[in-house]
Amino acid sequence: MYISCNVLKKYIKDSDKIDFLNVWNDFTIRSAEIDGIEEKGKDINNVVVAKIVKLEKHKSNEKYNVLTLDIGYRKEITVVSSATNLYEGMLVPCALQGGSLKGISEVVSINLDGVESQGVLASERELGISDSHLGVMDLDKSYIVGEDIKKYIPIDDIVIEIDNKSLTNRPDMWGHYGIAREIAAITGKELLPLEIFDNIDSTKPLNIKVEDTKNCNRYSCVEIGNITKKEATMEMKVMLYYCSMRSISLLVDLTNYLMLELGQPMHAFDSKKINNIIVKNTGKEKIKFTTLDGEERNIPENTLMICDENRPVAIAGIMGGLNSEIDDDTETLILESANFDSASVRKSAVALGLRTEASARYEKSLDPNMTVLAIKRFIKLLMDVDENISINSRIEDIYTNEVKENVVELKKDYLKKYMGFTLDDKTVCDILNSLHFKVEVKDDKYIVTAPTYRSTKDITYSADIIEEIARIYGYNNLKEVPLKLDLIVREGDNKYDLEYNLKKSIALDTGFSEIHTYLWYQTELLNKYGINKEDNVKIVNKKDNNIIRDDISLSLFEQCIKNSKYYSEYGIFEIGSAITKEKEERVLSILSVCFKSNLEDKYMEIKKLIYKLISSNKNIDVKFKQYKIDKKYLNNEYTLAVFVNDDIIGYISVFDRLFAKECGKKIEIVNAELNVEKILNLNKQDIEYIEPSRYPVTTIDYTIIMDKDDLYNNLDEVLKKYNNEYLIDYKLYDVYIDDKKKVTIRFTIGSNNKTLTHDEIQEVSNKILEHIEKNNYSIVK
Amino acid sequence: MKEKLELLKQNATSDINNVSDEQSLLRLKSTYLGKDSQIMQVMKSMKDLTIEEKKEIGKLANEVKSFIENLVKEKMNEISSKKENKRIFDNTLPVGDEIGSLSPITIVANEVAEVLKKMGFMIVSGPEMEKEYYNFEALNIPKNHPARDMQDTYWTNLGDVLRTHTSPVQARSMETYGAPIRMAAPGRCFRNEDIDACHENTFFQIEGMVIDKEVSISNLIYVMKNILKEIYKKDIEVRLRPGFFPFVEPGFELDIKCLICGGKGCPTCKNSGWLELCPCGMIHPEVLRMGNINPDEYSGFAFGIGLTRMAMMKYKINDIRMLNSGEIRHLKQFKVK
Repeated sequence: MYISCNVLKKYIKDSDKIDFLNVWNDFTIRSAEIDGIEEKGKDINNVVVAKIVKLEKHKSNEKYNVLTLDIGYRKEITVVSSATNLYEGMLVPCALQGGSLKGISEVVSINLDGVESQGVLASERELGISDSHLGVMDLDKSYIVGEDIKKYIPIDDIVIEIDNKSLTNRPDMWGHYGIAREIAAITGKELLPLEIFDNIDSTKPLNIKVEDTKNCNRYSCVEIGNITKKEATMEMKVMLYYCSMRSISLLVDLTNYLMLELGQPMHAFDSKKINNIIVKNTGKEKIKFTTLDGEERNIPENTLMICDENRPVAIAGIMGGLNSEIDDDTETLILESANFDSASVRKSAVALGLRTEASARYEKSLDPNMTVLAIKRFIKLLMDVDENISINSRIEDIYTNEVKENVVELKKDYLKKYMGFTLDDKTVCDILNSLHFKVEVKDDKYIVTAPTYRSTKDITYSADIIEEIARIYGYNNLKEVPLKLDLIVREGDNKYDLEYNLKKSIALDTGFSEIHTYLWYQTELLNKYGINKEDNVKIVNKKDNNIIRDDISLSLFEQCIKNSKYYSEYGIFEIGSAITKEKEERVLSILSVCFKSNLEDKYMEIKKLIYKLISSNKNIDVKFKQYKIDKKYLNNEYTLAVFVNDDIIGYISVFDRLFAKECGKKIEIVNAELNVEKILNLNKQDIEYIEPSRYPVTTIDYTIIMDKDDLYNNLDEVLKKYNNEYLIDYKLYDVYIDDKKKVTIRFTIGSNNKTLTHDEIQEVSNKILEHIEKNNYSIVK
Repeated sequence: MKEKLELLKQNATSDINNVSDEQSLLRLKSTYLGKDSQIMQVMKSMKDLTIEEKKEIGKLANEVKSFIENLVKEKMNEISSKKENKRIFDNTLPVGDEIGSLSPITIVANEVAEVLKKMGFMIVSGPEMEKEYYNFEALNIPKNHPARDMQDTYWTNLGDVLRTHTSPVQARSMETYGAPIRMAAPGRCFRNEDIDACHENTFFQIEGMVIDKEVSISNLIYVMKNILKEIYKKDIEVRLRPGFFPFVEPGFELDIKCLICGGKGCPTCKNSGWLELCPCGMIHPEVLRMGNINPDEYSGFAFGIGLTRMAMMKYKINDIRMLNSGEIRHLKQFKVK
């Protein structure tokens, strides 16, 4: 929303003492956000009112006119112009030598086909006051020749752009008068009342009926006749232009001006085109309606409309209809100034896809108490231009849902709690009074009455009053006070710490990179591999890629396709949410992309990593078992499930060739997943200290011959079963493969109570051998 | 005898200096210092000398012996160090390339979380797919509220939303932990937006909330300033200005003096000299009430910091899409801190 400071100045007493370039810093930290400040007219200089004394055709170029201009102070100059709307006796704006216009930074005397042109005539666009470039401005004959044009046309102005979003909860600031009220409060100045016309003699009623009393809070209107003037004042036109609106005609401009001034949207019907007024809801009826922008629209159900006896004439709060529009011949109008329910207007505007300046304001919950004031102000402004108008009716006013001043109690200790210190009564009252709140001071509280324009939704709670006090007091004037720390220890859910520790360990241990992938699949990828995720949760208002993932590894795989263009061996990982209809879980996924020749090493690297991640976080022993995971992209030949306490908490596997080949011919992808929720829920195992034996221990290595395709796990199962009080433990020492798999196991033999004799050691080792051979394994002798 | 010892010293010196391998040195060692060496013979023959001579020659002999011993030792060091110099061990080979990387988001999130932990905040988390109630109603954003419009929301076919902010964790934490509470919740959020260099539909925030019996706006200003001071490791000028969010009252926008231009005005701060960093405010009484906390007894404040924005500022990343690109040629460089 744009605000003209020229207009603001009119509403504030002693406004010449306000620095309108810099007051916006205070406004920003006390009221609302500023998007920009523009000084208008700085590029328009030395432009005077000139009179065309003589107009002749150029002798050598018939495109040109040669003008003799009276520029005042008994001076005449010659100007060559190609404009076609010139005539003798016309008053024109003329930029003199050294002056400037929009697009001309310095006017100099130039020779045009033999005639010296000593100035430039300006159109409205060149003065920066409209987009019109139809011809040289034809100035009002009352202007005095030789005077600076800025004396008559308010070209100089400071225009502020306010961020509309920051006014969402301030319906009172959707017009210049509301902004002026705020500036007056900030600068400690007095807000002046608006001049209105309040002598309406007519008692003639208008026939108005409000049927939908829920959505129409108030409907006020009046009939005005005998309108003869067609154009708004230059001042009003410039203001509208500076505020980003187009000047159309006197009546349209006036309704727009009122909306910009007071924030009250208004609508003018041509009186002869409508017959009585009924405000009603369209209900289930589906109708077509042509709005005044010429577009035929399908009106959604339950839209509040203004109708006459026969047909709808406007969509309430949004836009009028073509059928009742005012035009050049309009002499009598019905002026509507109404208030509609914010939610209803919003809903209709969204459904219609039609957001207007009016609907934007109604959506914010405007104060219905200003409708009649707006009418009286309209009449006053119209009369200033067109003094012979007649007021044909009384102001008709149906006020169904009255908004009263909200009264809010503010306890003094509550205020102190919020502020962090005590404010004295005078400061509190001064601040609230400057905002036109009434305050009654009691011993322990204030009884605060908010004006109606702050009572539609903004001011309800005592916290709302505190905001008013604190912001005008100035947040920059508040102290900084440390929090008092209580000594309650609360751990939270530990999930964050676990996730961070996992991620950091992986990055440091493997050199892999954490990436982030989207919560939804690329549908294209799913289709390509025929992966069916139709039963997944879906996003209903997203056009493509709207299937939410229940499996993170697939998302990471997609990123591998990209990364493999730059790297052949690398790793990526992510901890993210995987979502099914039943639950949302945090899952860690790791993908290690490698050459086929390195697959075993990389696989074991990941296996070791998984082991370390769990045991370093929880001290828990991890077991890996062969398993089948139901995922289309995995080669289950390589799948190991990660077991802790008989529960599967994840897996390690290798991507199916069909997928891995996307990353390169000789490329394989090792994949591991861990369920973070399950790790989180594992109890950390405490470590109990065991004193090592004070007696010497002996190690004996045996190399066991296995079939090449036999797995170590099978051997381990066998070894595990053997119990002997002198066998302390055994460990895999080496694996060597030629025609057979030769696995060397190192057995540690000893006792806590004594040094074993040679014979005793021999006996244990013999028993071990026996056990191994009994289970059909042979030993390298 | 004196001359003999001097000669011995000279010979030994030149012999030892001339050898270059361990074996010859050992041979020389036994020649000059062994049982049958000349010096040992000198020492043995000293018994025939007078007491004065014994004193003089004995001292000299010992000196020569330890001189030669030293010489051998030094030479031995020299030889063995030379031997090592023919090393296969190249300790100048580079290391460090193999450090992995965390996402810049993870890094800044952890920086903020660490600061908050020091201030006694506990870290909690919430789901990315959220109940409509926690994302809106519990935060005083009823149906048809314009604020629902400001945040274009992804809705699922279960009637849930992808959370549009981390604020639902406020509501959940009030229910789970009650008051007093001091919590922070980093997490991922989603908005239905078209993606370009400055806009993403997926981004990260960290939520913070404090509720206690005497929590004031002055506390909020202190906490926010100090968090930022810790994060940016310098005194940062901040300002609060009114901001509207339905779940706080009063609500603020917290700006910091532009880190790029220092407040003079530049394209990053749109010439205002200030960067909008963090919406915050005193928790709305209705939000407390819905979280089963009595607003007459307790008050509190909450804030949200845009982690994505913060990471972009910290690393001068100018295209937001990089963060979710999954491309390690960009991401590798961020390391783990």
